[in-house]
Amino acid sequence: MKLYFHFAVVGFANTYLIGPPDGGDAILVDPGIMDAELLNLIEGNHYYIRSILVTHHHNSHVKGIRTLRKIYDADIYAFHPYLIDFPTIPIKDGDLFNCASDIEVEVMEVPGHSPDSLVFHIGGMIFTGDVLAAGRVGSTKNSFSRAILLRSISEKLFHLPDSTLVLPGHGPPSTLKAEKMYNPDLKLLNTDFDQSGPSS
Amino acid sequence: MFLFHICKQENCENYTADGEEYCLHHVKDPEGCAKKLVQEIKNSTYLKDLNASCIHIRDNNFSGHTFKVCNFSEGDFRNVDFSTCNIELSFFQYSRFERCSFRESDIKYSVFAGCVFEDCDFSNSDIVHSNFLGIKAKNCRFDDSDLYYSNFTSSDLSHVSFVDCNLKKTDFVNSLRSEVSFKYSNYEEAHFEQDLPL
Repeated sequence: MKLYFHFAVVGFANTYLIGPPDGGDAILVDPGIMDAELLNLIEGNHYYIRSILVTHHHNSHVKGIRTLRKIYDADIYAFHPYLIDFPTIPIKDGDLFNCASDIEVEVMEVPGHSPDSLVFHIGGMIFTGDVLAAGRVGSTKNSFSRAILLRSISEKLFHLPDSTLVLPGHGPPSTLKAEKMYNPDLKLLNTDFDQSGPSS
Repeated sequence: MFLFHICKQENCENYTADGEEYCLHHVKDPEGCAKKLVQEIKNSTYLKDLNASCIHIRDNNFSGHTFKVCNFSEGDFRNVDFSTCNIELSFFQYSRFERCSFRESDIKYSVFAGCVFEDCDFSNSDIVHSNFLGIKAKNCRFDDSDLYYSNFTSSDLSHVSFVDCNLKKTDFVNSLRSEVSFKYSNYEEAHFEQDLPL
């Protein structure tokens, strides 16, 4: 399995391309924009976009779908049955399915930032959208939503191995261990964690 | 894309060494395996999917190398020259760097979370979209560098200079800063408080 990053200057969001090493059917996670750079990334590596995974409905994560669907006959996997006028394959917490090139995807619902926020677990990686980024958790509309978000992160994500790679919708990648240790928003959830790190 | 394989030794959570089933502490010949890995890095200027977690490297020159999707987590690097390197989606978390140079390097989508840096030089580099969460840095220079979208949240920075840097969308939230200089940098475009939503 190969992973490629694409940074969309519109919305400053990350799009991820996942596919087999030698090209073929591939997955796009959160196509915030479809530009020439992303097209070159897909075509230059001999991929055909067969599946689009959407972490949530916000514009910076879905805006590229219109153009993408004009080029590729891709299935859209999302929480809602419709997304910007396209029918989707609705998915929910606990779903486990194989999409492009038989890549296995596990779905986790982690609401709080938005009611439809999903996290995708593929191999040793989680695609967190706006649920969790390096050093911060997603914004919420009120303290109630924030409590839901923090509890959902704790319940759904913290049981995964510490080595799990965190690939957020915005900002640099991280690991679950680094987030548990250094994310100020998560520190309260994780007071027992060893924060010693390497000796200085 | 390398996979994070964990050492087969009971109760060991380290990553396996390249091509091995155990980590560098638990392989049959740790010294030989480490030597082999260092030699592999020295011999090739383009490294991809290399797993060298827990490696200790002293007095070596890897300048001009390309590291793509490599794992150097929990390593120890003293007097190692990474200048003019191209480092992409590579993992150095919880490593220790002493007297290392990353001058004029191109670093993106890489993770240095929890690292300790002493007397290290990152000047004249492009260090974008990279993760420096919780690092401890002492006597380090990032001068004349582009740090766009890099993240220093919860870091402890002492005598560190960020002179004439691009700090747009750079995070310093919850960081401890002592004798840190942002002279000529656009620090007003960096985040020092958790004020902007995702």
